[in-house]
Amino acid sequence: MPSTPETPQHAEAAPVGHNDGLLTDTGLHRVEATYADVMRISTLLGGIPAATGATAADILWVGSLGLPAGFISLAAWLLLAICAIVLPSRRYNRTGYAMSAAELRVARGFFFRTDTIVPFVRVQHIDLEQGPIERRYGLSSLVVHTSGTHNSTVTLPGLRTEVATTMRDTIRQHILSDFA
Amino acid sequence: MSDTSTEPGWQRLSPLTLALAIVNRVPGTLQWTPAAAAIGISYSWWYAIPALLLLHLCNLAVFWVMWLRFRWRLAGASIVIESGILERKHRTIPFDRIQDVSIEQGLLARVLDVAKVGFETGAASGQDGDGFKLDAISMQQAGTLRDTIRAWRDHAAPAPAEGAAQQAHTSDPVIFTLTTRNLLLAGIFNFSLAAIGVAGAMTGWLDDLVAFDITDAGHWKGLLDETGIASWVDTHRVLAGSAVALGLLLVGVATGLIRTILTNWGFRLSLGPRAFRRTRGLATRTDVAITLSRIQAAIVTTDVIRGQWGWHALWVQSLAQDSAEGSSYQLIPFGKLRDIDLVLSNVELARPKQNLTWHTPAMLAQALPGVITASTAGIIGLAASLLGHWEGVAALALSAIVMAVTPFVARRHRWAEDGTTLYIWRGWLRPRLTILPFANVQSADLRQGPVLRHLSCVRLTLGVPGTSSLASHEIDAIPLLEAQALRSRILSSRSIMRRHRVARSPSLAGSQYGENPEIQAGEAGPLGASTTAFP
Repeated sequence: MPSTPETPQHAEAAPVGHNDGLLTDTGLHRVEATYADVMRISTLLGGIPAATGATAADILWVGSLGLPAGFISLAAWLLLAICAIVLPSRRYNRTGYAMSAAELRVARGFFFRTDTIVPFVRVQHIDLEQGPIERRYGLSSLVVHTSGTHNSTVTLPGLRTEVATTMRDTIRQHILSDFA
Repeated sequence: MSDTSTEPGWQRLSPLTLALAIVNRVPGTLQWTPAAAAIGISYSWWYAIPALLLLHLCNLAVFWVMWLRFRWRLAGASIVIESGILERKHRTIPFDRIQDVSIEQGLLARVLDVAKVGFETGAASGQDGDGFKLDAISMQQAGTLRDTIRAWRDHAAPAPAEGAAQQAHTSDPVIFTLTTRNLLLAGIFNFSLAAIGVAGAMTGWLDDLVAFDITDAGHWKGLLDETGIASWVDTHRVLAGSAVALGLLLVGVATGLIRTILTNWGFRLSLGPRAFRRTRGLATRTDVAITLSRIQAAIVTTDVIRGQWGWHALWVQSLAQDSAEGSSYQLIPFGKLRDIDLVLSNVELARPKQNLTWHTPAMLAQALPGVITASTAGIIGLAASLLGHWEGVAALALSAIVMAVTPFVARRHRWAEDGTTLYIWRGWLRPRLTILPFANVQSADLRQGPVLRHLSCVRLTLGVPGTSSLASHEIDAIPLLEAQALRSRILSSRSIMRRHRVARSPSLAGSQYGENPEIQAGEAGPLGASTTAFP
């Protein structure tokens, strides 16, 4: 691997996730641990208003119908708790990537798992994306576009911005050298 | 707008375009008929006719202004199109980027001897395809334009035999034609169940149209008694019933025939230097170029009935999209496998060889969705029939059928590979075979949900440029290790082929499929996949 990006400090090449099904093989780097926090915060930002809305509807509407109130609120907040507290760490555990000399591999997903390989020579263009929450944590997402219809964008979230930039430059070099 | 056509080189579309536009708008103006009728009824018919005329006049005026504001010219080695009434659009299409020129003629256009000319470029034509079309210019102009562009490209490419290449335009070898006999046969196979449904619905519609109730037996009886048919029908009830059935059958057959003849009349596929040319159609005659280098995958389709006699159809998935056909190009509408083999050999593709090992994805994972659906339907049906809704029995029966059929359908999904190409079979009633060269795969996914995880299987999904509703670049359930091995074979084969292409490119430029160097440099980025496919 002539052009591996500088390895993140705690990106030990250890198996990502538990040893079942996909992604049991070694060689996948973990993304930054703070990525789980980013997911938590963004879930909460979207979820708290929704859950509040559900509670309001529960009080105002279900109550007026004379049905037992409270169940909807309970379900909404429980769902939010699961999505915001439990799932992000699971998803973080399941997110991994590997860059070889010629291809990028991205593994994602907790319930439905995906393991994608994109050869560098197939890359059309590359984006670095950073939302406001990611920016606070110094993280970026690397988005790779191919000309395939299925899977034409492959997103690798939770990278430290410097790492993502290095990876982008590496991939870009490969695109250039192949067509020189 | 006065100076547009006086500048040298600028040309307008044929004035006949206005006539075409008006005729094309007639169906659109039909929706105003009720409004006109309302005016006629509530005021006087003297207002209604002028109102409709005024509408047409307004339409004509709009078209006229649009026609005035549309101009095109050849500037050096590119074509320039200016359009737009208030917001002007100035578009330059270099000949370099024009893969080929397509010519389309509707029924009226053929009478008027004009044609719509489309330019096939690297850009996806979907979004604002109008900018890539001249609608319409005279047939002679269209032919000249096409020849100019093709000749330019051949001259620009360092082709050793320029004369020969020139010659090829006028007499491209024809590699497939649909004979009249096969056209009719195809039409019969195209038997339309939908038409029977429509015919059934029509009787309902006739009910509303005709004042009396069409199903009112008394009325018909009265009518028939007069003619003496009624007593005959009474005595030959079975015969009458079968006559009705036969009539509906005829409607189905006729619809299939007419539809097939309209689209595939005079179907002809020829092989140009860079593209297939496909001409077809009775009412609307189209001449479409399908660029060889942009073909990504081939799909062979048939169905259980046609398949019995060995009839198949061939489609290709291309980077360009044929809007009329749901994004795949049909190269052979109705042909034998040897026809298909011949066409495929021109794009370095082939049907799977006899000795390939076919793999069947894990049976359980395949059948599971069907089984779940069927059992859900069965439970609902059972519950319904227990509650006294006897319609539930139908659901029960249906679920039993689905249950019985599911394993067969599941077995129909097979795949094989020969080191350079992946073959995927799918479908039971309408089986289709996707032929996908490894070299065209852009990315590869392994996916796994809870069910597949328990089976230690994954779904392999391949990213291929272009879209096709027919092609299937997915294998449903493969054991994990096997899938990983297949994926790395697919993706590594690509790099070998690529090197192969780069090494060979000097000689390529001189070959008949050679691109000119500038194109190749330009295309290598976005279309790298397509150029590797056919070294």
